[in-house]
Amino acid sequence: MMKRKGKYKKVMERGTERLLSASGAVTGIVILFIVIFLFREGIGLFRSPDVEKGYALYLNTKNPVEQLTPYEIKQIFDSEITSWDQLGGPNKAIRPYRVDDIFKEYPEEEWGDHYELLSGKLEEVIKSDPNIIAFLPQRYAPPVGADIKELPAKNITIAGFFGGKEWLPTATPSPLFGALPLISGTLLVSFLAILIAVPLSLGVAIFLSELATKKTRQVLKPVIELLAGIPSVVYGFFGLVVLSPAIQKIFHLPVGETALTGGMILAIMAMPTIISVAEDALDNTPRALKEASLALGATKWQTICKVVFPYASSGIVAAMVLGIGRAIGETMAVLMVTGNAAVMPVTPFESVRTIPATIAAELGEAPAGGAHYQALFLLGCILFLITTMTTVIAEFVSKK
Amino acid sequence: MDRKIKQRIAFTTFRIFSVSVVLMLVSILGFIVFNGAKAINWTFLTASPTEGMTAGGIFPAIVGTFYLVVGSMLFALPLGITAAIYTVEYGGETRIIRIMRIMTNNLAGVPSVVFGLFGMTLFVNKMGFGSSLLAGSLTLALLALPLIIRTTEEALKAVPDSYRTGSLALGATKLTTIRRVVLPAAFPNILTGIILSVGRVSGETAPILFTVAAYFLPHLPDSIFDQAMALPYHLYVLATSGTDMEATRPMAYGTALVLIFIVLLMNALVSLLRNSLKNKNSNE
Amino acid sequence: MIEAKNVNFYYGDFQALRNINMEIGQQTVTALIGPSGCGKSTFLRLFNRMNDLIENTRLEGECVVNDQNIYNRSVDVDELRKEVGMVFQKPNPFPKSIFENVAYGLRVNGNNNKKSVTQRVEESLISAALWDEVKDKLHKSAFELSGGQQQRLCIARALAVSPMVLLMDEPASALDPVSTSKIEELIHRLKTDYTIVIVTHNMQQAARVSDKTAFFMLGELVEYSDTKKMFLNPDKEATQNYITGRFG
Repeated sequence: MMKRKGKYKKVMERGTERLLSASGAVTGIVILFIVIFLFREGIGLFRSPDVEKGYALYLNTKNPVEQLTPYEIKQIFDSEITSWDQLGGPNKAIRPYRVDDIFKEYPEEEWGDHYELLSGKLEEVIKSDPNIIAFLPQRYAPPVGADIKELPAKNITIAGFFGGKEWLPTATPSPLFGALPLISGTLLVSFLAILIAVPLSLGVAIFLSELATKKTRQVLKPVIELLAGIPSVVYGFFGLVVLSPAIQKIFHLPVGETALTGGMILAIMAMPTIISVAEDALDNTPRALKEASLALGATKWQTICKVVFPYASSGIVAAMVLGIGRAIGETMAVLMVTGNAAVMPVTPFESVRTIPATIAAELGEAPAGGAHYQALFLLGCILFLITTMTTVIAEFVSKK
Repeated sequence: MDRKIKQRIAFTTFRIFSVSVVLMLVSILGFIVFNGAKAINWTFLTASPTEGMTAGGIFPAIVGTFYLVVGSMLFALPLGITAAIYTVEYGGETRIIRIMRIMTNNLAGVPSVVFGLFGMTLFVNKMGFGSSLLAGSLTLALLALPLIIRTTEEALKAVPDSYRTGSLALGATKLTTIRRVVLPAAFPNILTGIILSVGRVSGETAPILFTVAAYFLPHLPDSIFDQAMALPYHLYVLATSGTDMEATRPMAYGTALVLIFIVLLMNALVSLLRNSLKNKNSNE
Repeated sequence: MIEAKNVNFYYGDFQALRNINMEIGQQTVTALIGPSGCGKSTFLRLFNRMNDLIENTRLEGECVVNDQNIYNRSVDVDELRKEVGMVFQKPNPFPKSIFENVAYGLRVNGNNNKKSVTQRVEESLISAALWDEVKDKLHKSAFELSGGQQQRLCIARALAVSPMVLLMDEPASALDPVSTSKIEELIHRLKTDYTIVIVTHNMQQAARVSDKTAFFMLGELVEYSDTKKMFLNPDKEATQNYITGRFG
């Protein structure tokens, strides 16, 4: 009897262990999966053509230009480049041509019932003008041959992504995925946030751990920790209705949604985390060391500088790194208060757009699988890498 | 004597910093509470938004957030807690567990918008759930998972080893020991972690932007494949894209207050739990 | 030189010292003995105002050092602590080099003259009978020293700022017998230059190192007299009981 019961128990035991290990494995795999998935989608961007899918650019063969960068293409169609000599061609005015233009030139009857005549008409147009550049859907494209050439399709490059200063993901014919404005926007806002949050937070942490009475501390610490839990959209809302009008007024700006506004809101949001971690670190300094210093006639401030700070330095650094991590990844609040202009920031008083805000703002309008979509994933990968780095640094530092 | 002056300058600065930071944080809270309290009444909590979001209430958003919290916990809790039990009680320090720990730590720091990105692609598009409660819950579950694993691990590690050896020495099996001794002892701390993740999940916006959130739905979702409104997204919408900003403001304040109230409630629960735990321990 | 006048001391509602009156002479070693919790450490820490660091405490009466009530408003606590040095129960060197540990007190008091700091560090280490053992590794971490060496380092550190009084709070309780006897020898030699007050729960130690002994119990000063008399022929029965090991 006893034996049988034991056997049953053993089976249960082993079964549970299997189950638990399976659950552990599933969790691990899920996490790994997220990472792989993100990167696979993101890196796909560099396999996408730099003009819109299904379209190509056509030139008259008399035109010596053989290659154009996406940025040049954008400038041509925006009439910012108007002469071929700016691109290594003859000194002739460029004639940008879109498929819609043909509908203006030829009456409806000549297109054919199923647009089957379109290709022939387009051929005529391109043949007749050596200065034309035509952006056409490939299915209606004229035959490439003696008179017409197609510009070779290139892929979006890594340099173009990280070095490009234009983020125009929905531009035609050539969307521009220059992440530089977004990266610098993120860095600027985070930098401002850290600049504001770190000194303030350290001051508060020192006050709490070294100067405040026990009672003050017991009241303040939970309040500060509570504020770390308030949703970011609430902070964003506050920034929108209070902070940005205030900044607009104080600095006489056309709009109050600036990098500075974002930095301040992020600072407010990051402070509870930084204060709490830094205060724990300061508080961990052994009493014996502090007493030893004071007993030698050091002032309290000297003791803090010479004994407490060095002892708590790794924890303080970890606190700052965690704060930076939070600031860089924060989405909603920043989205609501920075104005979201994807341009290279020059001063803190301009609108900027950060990486997370870009993802949140554009994901809804990016068709799945397209270049824009992949670009957003790549931005997600960058965020992931940055925050991973901060976590690793924080862990490394605090272990030391 | 100048070291005294230095000290005085430093300490005065810190005092001023502290007062201003606390004032700032409290005034944010106060601002929302003060303005939100005017908007909140019975209709606000129990009616759907009407007249282009300028009147009515936020009932569908409250319900939506409730569903999302329940849904995400349904996935995250069993997985997270069992994974933590495995790593702490069975795992030892194998390489796989170390990798998993690094992974969870990393994931805990990953910005929530990245979860949204992932959730939208995998759950909404690839798995074909569409923008739905299911997709949103799964995404939020992923977000909560590292949090739950970490707090549960810490709770289990806080149980003294003597409890385990004591139970094992009495002839109890490992499973019995975990079930009868370790889990009850760790339970309050595990619960604390759960409550904190509920607070976090209910306030997240970025992960639900593209996985579940609906701009306006006058009725409640019927199935897990329906879209739903949710409080944080609702606040975002009210704050940024209303047609008549002035008229929507009171609604926005009210929604913000409800969100803050949830966080306050969760924190109050946690501190209640901790206090009762302290009392229990000191009585023993 | 040192005097306590009608001293009462409270931790919150708890009265730790009851109406203590005691005079301590210059260049003597005075041992404070008594069972745990009797207030002897609290009493010791009054004289460099270490108890100020504990919240919610209250002092009545006067503590006089050098003819001045050190709890007077005009007294600068940091200056006082330079005059009244302290050695703690457990060795607590800073996580710095041996040299920097000893130089710490000089530096925080504004002495940045390299030559004079170096000289003073050497003198202090010699006084603390540690010089020969560490002179070749002054810039190594203080944690490389043994427990007993660390404690002598802490004594050297206290001596470096040239105090008049040295308070020692069970300085040998965490050490092995050999290290303990070295500390005791050191105390014996330091007596000629410093006024030393030492808290100990080791009766033999009190008998070996001190000139006078004070016996505390339940926050009261039960008996205070020459060490010899105290150990051979105490006035009070409680003292007798404690010394002979009937309780404590």
